[in-house]
Amino acid sequence: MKRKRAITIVESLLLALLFLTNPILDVFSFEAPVPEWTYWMKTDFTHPVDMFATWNPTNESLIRKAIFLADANDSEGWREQAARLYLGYNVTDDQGIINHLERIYNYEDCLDFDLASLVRFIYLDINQTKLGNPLLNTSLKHQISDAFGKCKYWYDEPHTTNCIYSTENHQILYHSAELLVGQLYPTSTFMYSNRKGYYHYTHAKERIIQWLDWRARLGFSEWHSNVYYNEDIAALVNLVDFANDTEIVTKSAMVLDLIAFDFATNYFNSTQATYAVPQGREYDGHKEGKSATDRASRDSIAEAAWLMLGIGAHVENSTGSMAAIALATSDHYAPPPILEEIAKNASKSIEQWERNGINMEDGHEYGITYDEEDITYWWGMSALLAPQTIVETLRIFNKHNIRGELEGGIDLLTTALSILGFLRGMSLGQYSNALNIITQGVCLEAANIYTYRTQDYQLSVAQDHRKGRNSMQSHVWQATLDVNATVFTCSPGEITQGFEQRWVGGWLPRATAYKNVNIIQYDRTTLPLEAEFLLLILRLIFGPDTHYIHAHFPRWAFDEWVQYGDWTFGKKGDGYVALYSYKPTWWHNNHDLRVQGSKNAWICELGSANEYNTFENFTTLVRQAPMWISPQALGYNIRYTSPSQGLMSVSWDDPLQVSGSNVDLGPYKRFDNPYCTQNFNTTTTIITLPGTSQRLGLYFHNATRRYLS
Amino acid sequence: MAIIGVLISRVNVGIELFVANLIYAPIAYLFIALSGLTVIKILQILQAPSNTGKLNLKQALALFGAFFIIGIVLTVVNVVLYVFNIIIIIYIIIIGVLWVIMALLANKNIVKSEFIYVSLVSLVFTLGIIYGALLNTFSIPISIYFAFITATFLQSAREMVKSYDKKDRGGGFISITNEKERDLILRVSLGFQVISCIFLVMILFSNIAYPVLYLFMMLIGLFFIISAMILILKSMREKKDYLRMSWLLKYGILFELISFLVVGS
Repeated sequence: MKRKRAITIVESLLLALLFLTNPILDVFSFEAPVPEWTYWMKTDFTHPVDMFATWNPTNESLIRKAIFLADANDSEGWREQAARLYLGYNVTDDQGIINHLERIYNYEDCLDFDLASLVRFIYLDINQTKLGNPLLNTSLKHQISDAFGKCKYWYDEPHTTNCIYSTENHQILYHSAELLVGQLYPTSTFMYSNRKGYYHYTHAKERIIQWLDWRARLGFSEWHSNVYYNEDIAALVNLVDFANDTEIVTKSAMVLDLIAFDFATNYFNSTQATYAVPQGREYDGHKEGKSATDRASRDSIAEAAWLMLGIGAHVENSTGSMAAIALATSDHYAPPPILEEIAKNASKSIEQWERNGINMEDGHEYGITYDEEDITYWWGMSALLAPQTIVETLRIFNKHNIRGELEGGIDLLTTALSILGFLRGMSLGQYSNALNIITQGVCLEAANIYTYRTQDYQLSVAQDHRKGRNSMQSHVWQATLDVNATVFTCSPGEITQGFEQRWVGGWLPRATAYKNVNIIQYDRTTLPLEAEFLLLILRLIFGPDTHYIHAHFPRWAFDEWVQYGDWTFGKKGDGYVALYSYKPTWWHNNHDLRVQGSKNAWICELGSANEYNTFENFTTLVRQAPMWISPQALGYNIRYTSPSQGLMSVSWDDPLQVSGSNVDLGPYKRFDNPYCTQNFNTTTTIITLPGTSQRLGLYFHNATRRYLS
Repeated sequence: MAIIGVLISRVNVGIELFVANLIYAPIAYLFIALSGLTVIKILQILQAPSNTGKLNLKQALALFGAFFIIGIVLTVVNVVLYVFNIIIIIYIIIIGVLWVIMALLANKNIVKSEFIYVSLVSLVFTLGIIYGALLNTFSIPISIYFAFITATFLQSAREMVKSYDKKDRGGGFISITNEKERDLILRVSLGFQVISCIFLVMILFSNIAYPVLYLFMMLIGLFFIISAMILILKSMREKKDYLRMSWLLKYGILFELISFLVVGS
């Protein structure tokens, strides 16, 4: 007995000693330094495609490029060093570039953003060296190469990191970098994958082709993203400029053309331009205009859109955009002239319908499985927790020890879902389905976008888009009179709490629009009670103040504004906007008009001096318009007799009717506008300019890009 | 019971309406239920005027009217504020008419008053299920009707058996004069329990969201009910275990309510 006790005491002491000395031992432990990467760099590249064999970029685009490069050359920013290299000057900030290598060595999230710029530096230097003008010093080139050799390019490589690979923009950035870096060091063995460069090239090529083909057939999951098109453009221009593969070069250029076409047909007002459309992923900072001195940030893709098409204007100190730098320093990509012409033409007026993306349950219809082979399509849609993909996603995450997304909280969520599902006798997938207004709500599913533009206003709406679901960052509708005078609504809460967003994401409405009138209903069904209870707890912890719906109505941005009862009116230039709320509203501040609760109906009608002569006439006719709104168990029954469109009626589930006829709310064609009509899920895009012989043909099935003037 | 009705029928009901009904339904229906219980008191006063306690007939009638009107007003306020719903108003009026009809039937001895008492006590609570459901939606899921039938028959069965439970503070409404009557009551109670079991099981096949969890709770409830049924069969031969019957049925009702909550959660 005494002996046993003595042994136990000794064991306990040893354990205590181990516990106490562990930190001390750490101080004296040495990590072996990571050896430098030994590599051989290939430099004899020849561009496989003459991108301007049959046509040239417009003179205007070349002038814009020169203006941008001159400003970038004067900038101290690290990305702008590419402009110096392109112009034949040495970089001025070696240390700034080296500082960004730390992100790669530390495997920090978004290292792929830096990879894109670093890849461009190396290849531009190779081009200059061919001209007898090597610019980057050997030490800097060596350090960049070393970082390339130690980087993790995809989730299936060893080494656990915090990087997120799953989103659509991260995918193309990583694949683009992996291909171009693999191409640079084809026979060298990369240190963490233990694979040669040629393996990385092949690994990335297959995934790039898949990514490009998905964009061609199905559009973008991060549709119209003001922020993430920036990243997509940079990665794609890199491929066009530096890839040694005809198919990749051509298809990348074609997808860039699609983005340019998107800008050309969706930008409002070419002088003070704004990308005034719904977006799959957006941030408050780009949307919320608090005051004349604290406006919404300029569109992240504004410089890129200006460079590509001459939309809007260049801002002298706005030269750090990845996309703009890539476009300005590209010798092989420019949008065909027809797109510039369309941009000028379309800014005046348009009525168009377009579709991006598919729904979660449509995978088999479009030939996309839910297995690892195609899982990145769904991940690109933020569909990690959706019923169809949650189990496979977790299996892959655990198999490859993927931490980036998990540390965003997904592992905690899936554990909670598993436990609650077990208590209800349901599998994880089944329980995810029970919560699909959230687990599928975050998915960037099919968006059928309707845009109506006159010279005085634009209304753009994602029609009937996932009503009653909770979204991370989607921006579903917007009425625009100018870059600051924008009106839209949002019901913040739940997932957006984690992003501290109040103007994008949240509970999505049923927005249904016809020409200049949009009817918006907010409501949602109930979740299982334990989920509602969890949401209540989350709300109390993170945001007790989000039990409201609000309208962005920046009074400061209008020439004139007035309220009559439930109607709020604004005038900017010759454009007018009217916003009705079923519930009583109050002004939270100068731009935030709120109603209490999670259910409301709004009506937005736009007008102009051309249509109504005066603002007073507009306010009188609109506020006297007969209206009948009746709350239902879900949503409302709404009958509104618009002074411009006549009787409009809609409910939560019924079609939108105008004068007794159903309005098409989708699914739309891929493009349906005066310049292009293309069915969804097809691989040929023909863009024409009416009244001219100009024609751009994008044939993805055989990687042919043909412009005829 | 009104809360259960709101919970079970919440599919395709908006969150705001659902939360409002969760709050309004029990408060409004409480007064409707109280008006039903007041009818029982009125009947007792009519039948034994000397043994009325503190209330006289006029006061009881006034109380009935007050409770019922408050219940209607609260319901009207709810539907005006949220979703206008004429069906629920009609439903409450039907309930009121039902109370009056039942009172008249008992008072005129057209139907045995004991039967009316038992029915009233059951319906006062179980009609709340349909009330809660109607507040949410016009198209009530079939599981609501099954739940209503189950609860009504089981509650009635227990009320019948309660008369044998001398320790039950509430006592029973049925006065047993002879063995023949006792056996008849027990047989009727048994029949009601069988019906409630059938509909309790039928809920499982009515497209509910969480059948596995419901099955688990249902089996526990069935255990108690079937145990009570076995005791009833035994007590038809022997005069024993009446207290336990009532106790078993009480717990049967409890687990039945929990299973209804599972259906709606």
